[in-house]
Amino acid sequence: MGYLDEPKNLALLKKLFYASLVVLILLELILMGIRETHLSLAHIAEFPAFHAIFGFVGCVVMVFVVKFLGHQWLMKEEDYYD
Amino acid sequence: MINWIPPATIFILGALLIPLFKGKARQLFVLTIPVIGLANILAMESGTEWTYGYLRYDLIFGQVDKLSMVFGYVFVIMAFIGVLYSLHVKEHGHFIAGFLYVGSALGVVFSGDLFSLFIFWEIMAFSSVFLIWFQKEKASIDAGFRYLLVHTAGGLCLLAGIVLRVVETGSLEFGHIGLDGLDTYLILIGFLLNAAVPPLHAWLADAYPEATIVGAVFLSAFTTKTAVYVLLRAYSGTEILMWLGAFMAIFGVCYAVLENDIRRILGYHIISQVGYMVCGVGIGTYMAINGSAAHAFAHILYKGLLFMSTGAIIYSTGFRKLTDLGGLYKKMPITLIMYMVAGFAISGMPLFSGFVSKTMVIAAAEHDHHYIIFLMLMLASIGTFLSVGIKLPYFAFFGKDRGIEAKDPPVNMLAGMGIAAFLCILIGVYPKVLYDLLPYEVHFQPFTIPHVVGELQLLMFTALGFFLLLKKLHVEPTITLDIDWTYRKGSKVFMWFINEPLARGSQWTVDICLVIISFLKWFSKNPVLAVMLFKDSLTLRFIGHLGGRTRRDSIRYLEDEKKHYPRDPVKRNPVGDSLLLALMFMAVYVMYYLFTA
Repeated sequence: MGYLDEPKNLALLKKLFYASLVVLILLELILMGIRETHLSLAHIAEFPAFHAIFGFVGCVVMVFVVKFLGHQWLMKEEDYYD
Repeated sequence: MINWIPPATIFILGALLIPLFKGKARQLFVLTIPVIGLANILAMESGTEWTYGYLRYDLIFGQVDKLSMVFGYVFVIMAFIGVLYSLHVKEHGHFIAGFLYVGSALGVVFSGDLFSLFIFWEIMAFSSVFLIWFQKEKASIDAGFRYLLVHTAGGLCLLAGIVLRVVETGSLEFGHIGLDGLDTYLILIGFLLNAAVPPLHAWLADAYPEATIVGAVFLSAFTTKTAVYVLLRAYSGTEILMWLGAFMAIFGVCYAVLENDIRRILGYHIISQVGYMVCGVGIGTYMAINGSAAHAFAHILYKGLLFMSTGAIIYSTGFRKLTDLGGLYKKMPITLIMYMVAGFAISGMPLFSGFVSKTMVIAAAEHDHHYIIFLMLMLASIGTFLSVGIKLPYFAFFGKDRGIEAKDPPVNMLAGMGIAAFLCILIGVYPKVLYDLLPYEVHFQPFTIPHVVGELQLLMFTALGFFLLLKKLHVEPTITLDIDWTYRKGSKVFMWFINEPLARGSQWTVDICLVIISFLKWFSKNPVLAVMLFKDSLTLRFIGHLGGRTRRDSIRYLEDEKKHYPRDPVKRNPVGDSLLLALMFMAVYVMYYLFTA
């Protein structure tokens, strides 16, 4: 039995993971405060939790768009070139 | 007095001496060569040495400055790691090809003129292809030939550019070139092909996964990074490269999302990571050039480590597709740790090497007010962590346990991986070791609070996206179409064209010539009678009969004449025949003269 076969351990890891997400957002707000931001491209990285939002949205959009293109067009059977 | 020799010589001479050794002696010898190489590099000083006059030009084998030294150091270090990793390999050929490859890459880095650069460039292509062929499967033989053909085309393009440049400028010197005129475009295309910039990239993802386990480790390090070096030297500040680089950074990670073959995923990530470097070349500020060079240095080590640990998986299990793998963390724990060090390094996790190099390029884009580029590079970071940091290890080491028999690889492979992992962490924790090597003074502080927290947010929320979309992201047993489709399918169309229209067309011309020849043969047996027969048949057709005969007699006579053709030409009328022939040739000549004069 491996460590990850125990549901108890998996649940613990999950909790730790979600906790780390919250901590990261809080860290930013505590350490840097809510800064005055301008809605312009030049200051976009200073927007509160910008990296978190960009990371999550970027990941989801990329997966959907790429998988869509893959299924419609790019992915072929393994013997395609034979 | 110079107390060093061009680094290429050490490796190329070393390659030639390998067959003299056997067993343990050979193991010792192949490990010694990179050590000598490193000692030699440490003895090198800035300046231009080892210049030879050739015809009217100077061939320079030792142009040394800080930029070439960065690449020199990391090439030699990686050569040592790669040799250690492949110490168990029995065939001499692997080491000979590997050393020629490393040597020629070093030759490019330290050559100060375009001619010796080109020669080393070609040796690189022709030695590295053996690292693919030694896999000895049909897929790798085919992929090797495609690799060679593509690189030969790129090399010819480079050569054409060099020749034009020498004719125009009269100088072979290799320095800053910049975009200006046909020659510079041709040279740039040659360089971009080796840097795997789309649409000239497909050779990489096509060939590297078909190489041998140890071959792929060498391949991942040298060809693309040599190209980054020459781009840095010759094309820094060329704006189009900034956009191409940012595009290829995203392009590579998108393909990696779809791929199933573990080394092909890594191949696409080479394209993506080289994108950061090419982008840095395009931005062209001191910070960006430092960033590109630093990222090339860090990249060679962590990408080598990625290929070494995935190589360990293939070595141990015999499987190379994520759909066949799973649950290996129990059986290959050390490999998992090594892989994750490299995975974190490539993703730019703080305290690993990618964080201190990649972010320098991204920050350079922001400093120079290229905000779109800045966002594109961040998006590529997300994709990097998504597939190399999470997807690949999740499906190979965790995920569904398929009960595969496996264990950690032999000690020499682990040692090679260990050194690379140590360097990835060392650079991440103490970036000064890398920053001190860079071409310009570094004014960049990676470990600031906003920087570290921002990067961690980016990566952890990417992970959140992955786990929420786990169902959507399951790996599929497919291959992915890429530009190589054009020549892999295109070659079939080409072969059809050869076999069908072209072969038939050529047969027609043969048939027509045969008819002409047999007619001439028939005609020349008795030209007089042939002409008379021709005249008689025309007369019969238009007048209806031959003089003094009825129609029926005329037809019978003509058939009889044709049957008995050629009768006895020379004896009957030798003078008349000769005269007729002479007249005919004269007529032909007169007509020819009429039309041409």
